[in-house]
Amino acid sequence: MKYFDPHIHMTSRTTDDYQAMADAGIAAIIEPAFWLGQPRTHVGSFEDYFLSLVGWERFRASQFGIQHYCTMALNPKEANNPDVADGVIELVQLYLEKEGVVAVGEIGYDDMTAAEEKYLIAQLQLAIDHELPALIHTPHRDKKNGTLRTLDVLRDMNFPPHMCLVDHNNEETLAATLDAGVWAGHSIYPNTKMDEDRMVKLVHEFGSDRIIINSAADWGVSDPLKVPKTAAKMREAGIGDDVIAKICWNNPVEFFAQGGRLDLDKIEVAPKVDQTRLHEGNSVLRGQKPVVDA
Amino acid sequence: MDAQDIDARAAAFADAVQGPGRAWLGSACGGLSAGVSATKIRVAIARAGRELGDTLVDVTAVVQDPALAGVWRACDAGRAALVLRAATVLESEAWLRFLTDAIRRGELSEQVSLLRMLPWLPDPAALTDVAVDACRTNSEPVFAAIACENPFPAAHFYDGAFDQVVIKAIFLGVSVERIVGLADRVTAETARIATDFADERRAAGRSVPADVDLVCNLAAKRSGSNNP
Repeated sequence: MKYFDPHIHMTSRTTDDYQAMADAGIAAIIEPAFWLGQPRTHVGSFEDYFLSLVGWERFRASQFGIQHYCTMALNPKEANNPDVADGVIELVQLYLEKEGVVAVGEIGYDDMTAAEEKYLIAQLQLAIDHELPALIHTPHRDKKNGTLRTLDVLRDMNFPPHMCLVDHNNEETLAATLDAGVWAGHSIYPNTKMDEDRMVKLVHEFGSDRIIINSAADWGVSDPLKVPKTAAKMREAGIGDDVIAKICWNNPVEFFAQGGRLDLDKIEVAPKVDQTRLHEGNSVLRGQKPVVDA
Repeated sequence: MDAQDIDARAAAFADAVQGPGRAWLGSACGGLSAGVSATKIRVAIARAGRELGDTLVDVTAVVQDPALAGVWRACDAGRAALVLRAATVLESEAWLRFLTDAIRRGELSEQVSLLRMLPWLPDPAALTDVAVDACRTNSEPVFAAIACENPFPAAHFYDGAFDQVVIKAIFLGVSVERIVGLADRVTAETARIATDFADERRAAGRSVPADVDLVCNLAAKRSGSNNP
């Protein structure tokens, strides 16, 4: 079975992760634009990061046979920085047009401030203007309140529910998220947020419609193999392969293809691995024999 | 080039684009009027990839030499039309700034288009520094866009920069025969760099690319023809 991880920050991960992901059957990923773990101090830092999402990371992933797409946005945390916020929004309008960008994201609340709300609304409007789906981050602190507030904003804006993926759900938020008609993402982590066993319970209770899972692996303690691992737990719990394939492949493909930027034919074909190709003169190899698919 | 010439050239490039993208291109070019923001042009350039695609088109009306015209994709022709149109609505300094920026901040396909079109823009010599800088990329398609099937380096690069194009082509495994005007620009210094590279490869027990000999022969021929 092939897997799709639609929320993973590869910029923080090594090629060991890429190799493990490829070995585990992960064939496609989406890397959302987010913060880097510490605040950026220049608008230009965002631009160079955006360029790497449509350049180096896409190339690096292809060297392991993985199709890489990304999303673009001013993330919730850095929306609070008045020195960069407006400049980044201007950049986002341009970078949403670049090849490989499938959605606006990650947007949403972090601390529930007025600035976060302002830029959440502004970027939902950008999603409408650019006819792209939106990937929404829900806060990790005061999550239930933050999620409900997010759903209110979406309703007030008449944002089309089928174009919205509200991520990082848990037992407290999933019912409301699904009731709002939006897609529901779940980030499976080693010790925090959601885990495999609890995810299996949610699937038993709520089914698989509009259910998406991801690893949200980043610079913290996280695991880029959580999608195949959760699939394995689902299998163990007696959930059928068709349901697992729906959650781990068909659902993310269907959601993100709505912007017209994800080629439905291309996504089904594993890219040929050719590690002799260089990007900006940099190979991912350091002395190993290059893998070249026939 | 006066505004009329630029417009004619833009139209010739746009004409090469057939199919559904043609209407999009016409509208995008028409949307660039006096006072247009650099961002708006860059959005159009980004979109051109998706709207026009990668199929090869016939730009011999402008590029003339079929060997050079043979690499032009629909998105290249479309982006050339957009950049030329921009030259008629922006002041030359603002246009230069926009173009330099677009090259530096383009993703790979955009960079290929922008470098490919340089010889056919107004006052190409003003873009020499940007073009020399672009050769620092090691992304093969971007390097090939400036180094191959492109008269720009032979026409405008100073000797040292041209030598770098040649040695880099050898290094990347890009055929030096694709470098336009090679025979007229190789010097004894080019041959020296190529020969040193060959020595390095032999010392490492690796093969020496055939292009090294080709470069040395051309250099010898050129210096021979300078001697009465």
